[in-house]
Amino acid sequence: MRRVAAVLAYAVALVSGGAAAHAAWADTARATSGALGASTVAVPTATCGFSLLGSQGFAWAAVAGATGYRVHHGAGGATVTDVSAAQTTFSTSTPVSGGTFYVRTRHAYPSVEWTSAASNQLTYTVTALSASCS
Amino acid sequence: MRSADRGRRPGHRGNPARRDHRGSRRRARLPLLAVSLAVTAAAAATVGGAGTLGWWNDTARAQGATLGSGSLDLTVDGAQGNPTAYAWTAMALASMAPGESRAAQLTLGNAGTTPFTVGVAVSGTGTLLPHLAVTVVDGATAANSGSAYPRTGSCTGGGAAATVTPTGTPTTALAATATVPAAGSRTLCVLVALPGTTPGTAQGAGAAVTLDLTAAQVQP
Repeated sequence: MRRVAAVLAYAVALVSGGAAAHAAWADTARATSGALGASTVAVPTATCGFSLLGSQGFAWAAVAGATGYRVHHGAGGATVTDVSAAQTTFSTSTPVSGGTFYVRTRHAYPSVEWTSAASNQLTYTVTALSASCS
Repeated sequence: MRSADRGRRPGHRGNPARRDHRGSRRRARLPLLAVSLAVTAAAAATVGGAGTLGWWNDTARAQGATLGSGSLDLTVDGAQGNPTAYAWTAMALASMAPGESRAAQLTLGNAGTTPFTVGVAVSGTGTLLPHLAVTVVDGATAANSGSAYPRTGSCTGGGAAATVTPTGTPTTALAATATVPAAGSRTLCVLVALPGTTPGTAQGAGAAVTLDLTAAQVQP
């Protein structure tokens, strides 16, 4: 019986990797979520408005949830004007040849404001005696 | 035995009366001599000859007792989650706006016979990932409210909690949950939030969050 006990003790030591080592069991699993996506602020569509002497008008359809719009006009659309959500038209009498017009939707959240991608671009010209848009 | 044979020879050649008398005496003594020799021979045979000593041995066998190993088996909502990841469809939210969040529970099951704790590491994929905040709460209950902005989730109750910004590499959120007993379970509440200050550059981005769960045996 002593031999049996000694053999058993040796076997246990071998299995456990030594008297001081105790390998803990472990198991793993992985869970992967479904799609998490950020929203996108809707992009408005711009159109040419009335062309009058020395003034060019523009318009766009209202976007649900918009808290305002950011209008880009002038040469290269470099001039920026923010308007309210209630305003969906814009006109300019600043003379420009080959000016660019586009608009973005603004959406204000409590701590940050997001703006949409740029709308389609319009090219326009305003002189003292004429205006055109396409 | 040769010594006994030599003892008989004189009797065959001598006086029958004396032979009988002596013979009876010899017959009475011979068994004692034979027994002594036999014991000596047996002893010699037993010890294997001069100079050889044998160990005494005894054996016994016990039957009826069964030694069985235990098991450690972690399940996630009843699924193994390994090697195929568990598709956690409860954690999903489209069109998240700044300040919105989603909470969902995972049930960590112990399908084995060994108590364990569970370590939780968070990672993921997608361009929205660096904008997300993932909170893991041990033992909490998930709830969600609102179908319009702002849709928010929450984890109520529970114990240890941690929030991490996931990357492509698993980041430890919880080193260990409370012990999940054999045949028992424990909930894990996870809250994924798009912080209110998330910049507009995150628009339209997507992500998937991965939880790596490691059950570790509770040492007795």
